[in-house]
Order: sequence, then C-alpha cells, then structure tokens
Amino acid sequence: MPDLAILGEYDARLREAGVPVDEWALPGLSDEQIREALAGLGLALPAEARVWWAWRNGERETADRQLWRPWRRGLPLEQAVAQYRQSRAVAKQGAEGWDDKFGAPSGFPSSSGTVRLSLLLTAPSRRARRRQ
Amino acid sequence: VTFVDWEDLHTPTLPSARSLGEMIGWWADALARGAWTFDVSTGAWAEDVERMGEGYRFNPLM
Repeated sequence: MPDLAILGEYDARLREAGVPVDEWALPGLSDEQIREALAGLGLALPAEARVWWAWRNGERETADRQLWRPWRRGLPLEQAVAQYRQSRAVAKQGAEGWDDKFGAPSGFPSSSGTVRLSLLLTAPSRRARRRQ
Repeated sequence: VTFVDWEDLHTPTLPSARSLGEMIGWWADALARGAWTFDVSTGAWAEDVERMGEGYRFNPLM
C-alpha cells in the first residue's frame, strides 16, 4: 500500500527530473470530496486508492502530456468515476443474465469486458507503441 | 493492481503488482536507472526498456 512517504519520494524524483509537478498536477482531495465523488456509486474505495487521490487528484488534461510517467495519464477521481459509469452502462447493455452484482467494488466480468475504476489511463497503448 | 487492455478484453486480466506502493517503487527505480527520462524543453518523456530492472521490465503496468 502506498503511503505519503513513498509518494513524496517519487514526487521528489519527478522534480529532480524537471517535471513541472506543481503546474501539471491537480491538488489532492479531502475525505469529504472523495465521499462526494463516489456518492451513489456503491463502491468502497480501497485504502491505497484513497491515499492516491488524497495525495494528488490526477493531472490536468492536455493532448500529449503525462505527468507521473511515460505513456500514462493520472485520472482525476471525477473522471475515473465518469469513465466507470460509462463502462458500466456499456457492459449492462451487453451483459447476458444481468444481475445485481453490477455494483461490486472489484468490477465484474461480462460479455463486454470488465468494469473497473481506473487510476491511470494509457495513451497510446503498449501495443500501439510497439507498432511505432 | 491490475492492468486492463481495452483493445483486448478477451484476454483475462491478472494482478500485475501486489500494491500501488510496489508499482510506484518500480516507477522510482525506472527514473533512478535512467529508463525513464523527461525532456524539460519539450515536456515529453522517453523510455529505454533496456535500462529497466529485470523484475518488472515486461510487466504490463510499466
């Protein structure tokens, strides 16, 4: 589980590398803001995900920029929730034998794939990178 | 921590790191080894897979 020491150490390394952390990162969320973002979703956020979004709420969205590392962008919690809702709606449309396990915290398998709350978004995909 | 390839949803997803802390430790190591470098003038990252640690080099989370 990440703690603030590990995240702080990584933050320091990014700054040493010249990454403009303060300019690109979004401020971390309070417990209340996290609760509001998850309201009505039926999800219990794992402790380490709570630490992650309390540290920084992802990064400001731009076309071709990644803050934390190459190839992947850190999602703000509200964007992760929106993506989760969209994936859940798509999965519900395609699911056979739909039942009330839909809101399970760890996601669930369906004919359309798996619904999960994402912390990071890859762009472009690793496969696409290998083709380049 | 699980990696999901949205272009390949037929392949089962498996946990790729025991925790976020472990994953971030790999990130820090990649920076320290020069496997990930940041170009301040362009704001772009570059990756040199050969410099990554053997333990995580081919991990889909990296």
